[in-house]
Amino acid sequence: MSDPKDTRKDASGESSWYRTRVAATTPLGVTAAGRWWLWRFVHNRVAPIGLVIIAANLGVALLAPVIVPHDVRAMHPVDALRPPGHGYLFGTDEFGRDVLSRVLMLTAGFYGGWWDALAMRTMDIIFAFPAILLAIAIMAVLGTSVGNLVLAIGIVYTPQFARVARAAALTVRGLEFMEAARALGLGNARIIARHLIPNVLAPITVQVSLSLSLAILSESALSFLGLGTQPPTPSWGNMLSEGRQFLELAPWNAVFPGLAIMLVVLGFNLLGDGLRDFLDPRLR
Amino acid sequence: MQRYLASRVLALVPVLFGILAVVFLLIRLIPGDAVQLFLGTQVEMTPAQMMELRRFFGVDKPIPVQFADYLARIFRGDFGVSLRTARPVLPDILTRLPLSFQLASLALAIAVLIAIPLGIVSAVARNSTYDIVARITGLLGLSIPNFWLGAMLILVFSRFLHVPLGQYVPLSQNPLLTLRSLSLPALALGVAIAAILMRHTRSSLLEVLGQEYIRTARGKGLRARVVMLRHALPNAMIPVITVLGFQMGYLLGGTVVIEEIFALPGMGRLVLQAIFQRDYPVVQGVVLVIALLFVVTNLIVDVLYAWIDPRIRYG
Repeated sequence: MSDPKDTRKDASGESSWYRTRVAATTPLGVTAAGRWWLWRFVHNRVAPIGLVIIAANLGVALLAPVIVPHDVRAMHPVDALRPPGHGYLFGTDEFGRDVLSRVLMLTAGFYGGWWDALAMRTMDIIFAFPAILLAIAIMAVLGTSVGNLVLAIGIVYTPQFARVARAAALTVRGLEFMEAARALGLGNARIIARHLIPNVLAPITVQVSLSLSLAILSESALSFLGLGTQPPTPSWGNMLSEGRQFLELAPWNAVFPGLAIMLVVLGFNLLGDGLRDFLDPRLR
Repeated sequence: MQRYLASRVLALVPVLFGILAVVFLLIRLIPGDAVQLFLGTQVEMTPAQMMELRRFFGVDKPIPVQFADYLARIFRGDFGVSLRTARPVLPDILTRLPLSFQLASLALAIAVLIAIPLGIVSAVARNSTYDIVARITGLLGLSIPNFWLGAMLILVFSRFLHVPLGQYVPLSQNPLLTLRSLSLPALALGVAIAAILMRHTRSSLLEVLGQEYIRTARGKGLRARVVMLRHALPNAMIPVITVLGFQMGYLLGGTVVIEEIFALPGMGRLVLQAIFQRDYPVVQGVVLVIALLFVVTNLIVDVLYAWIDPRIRYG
């Protein structure tokens, strides 16, 4: 979300404040620029909140063995249907499995031609299925395991990354410094690694953050349907599914996992939104 | 316009081919073959009998030939036979299609009705308390898992408000009862779309309101309402329609989850039931039908888009 009071940008969309800062580069210029980034990040107001939520969750996840007083898989018949104090983080196990696809699509945007056409048509076909439905179908066929879950979610969100990466690569490809790099006689591999990738990272980072929120929602939906993480391994989705059976008797069993999912997803959405304003104002 | 339409329809052919290939290959990924799946573990058979059954199902041929057979059958409208009920798959799917379709349409309608006015007010009253509250609500709406929202709606309405949710009644029998039975599920499904649409309406309208021609319109003394309705809104809605197109997949896929929660007998429940019964022809059929629906709705959105914005047609 845009910072409404952001008057630091002039007509060219670039901050004049930034230019004076860069112009005044001292031998410590790098740190000055770094400090400026930090300043903007903190003053972005949205992104830090998201980061705090995510960090808090990661903290809970990492410290879980210490905090959680009982083995999460153990049965506690006496405690059955007691209000739970906390949820467990098990929704974020599908971190960027799309690295390969992203690199492939970068090269598609870079080389163009038949490779681009082939890669984009493949993505179109995956895109032609509603994401959650394709994930359900993949889980139905491959069977339920965490590995398959990661694979399924990775596959269905690949086209989004592919499109973002390709569009960014296409834009960057036409820029002057790419021509300069080529004029210097650099090989394709080096141009992609050193010049293309760093310059398309911003939109991809934003997409990673927003897609993680979608991935968590998908994981919990699949687990809720009984096609994702299987009990007794707890996942917010299957907790919700079990809690739903006692909705009338013990609603908190269904309420808290949902709130936990919502909080983390909100965190990633806030971070993604903030990062977008922060890294790439043009994307608004 | 006709040329645009023709080129769009033509571009669908490879995508349709790809969809059919994926749906066909899905079943081939299962460990074991169709015959073993069909028999389960109970039946003891001699290898000769197995071969005979394989020939009967056509799975003894090479994969490309099987795929050609599959394509031919699909074009004849033969989606296979359920392994559990021995009934043809397609009629079963078609009887459940209306519910899923009505649910998705109602969710879309609810989303548009909530999102567009809120987005407009948010953009006009930019940075007001209302705007800030609306934006935060929008982010929350984007983050709520729809199945959880559905469960909470059931909880609130049945436990605290004691409102009976009612069974699904087909549209042909009593449209009012249909609306009543589908409104809560549609709300649960539509909230996320509403949030997305609201955000895009707001940002798109803000961008349009900053354009020169809006200043011109205001400068020549048009009333604010006319500027908004005649000049700003139509232009601001163009990107929103594209976004709407992207959300069709979410709507169609989301029906699977929502139907399960509200126990609605639609395509979604059919496919889930089939998955747990390992009834793969039904799974294949539903996935294919939903993917086809998705492609067709996307085509409609694209055409609508080109109709509203001539730049797309000639671009």
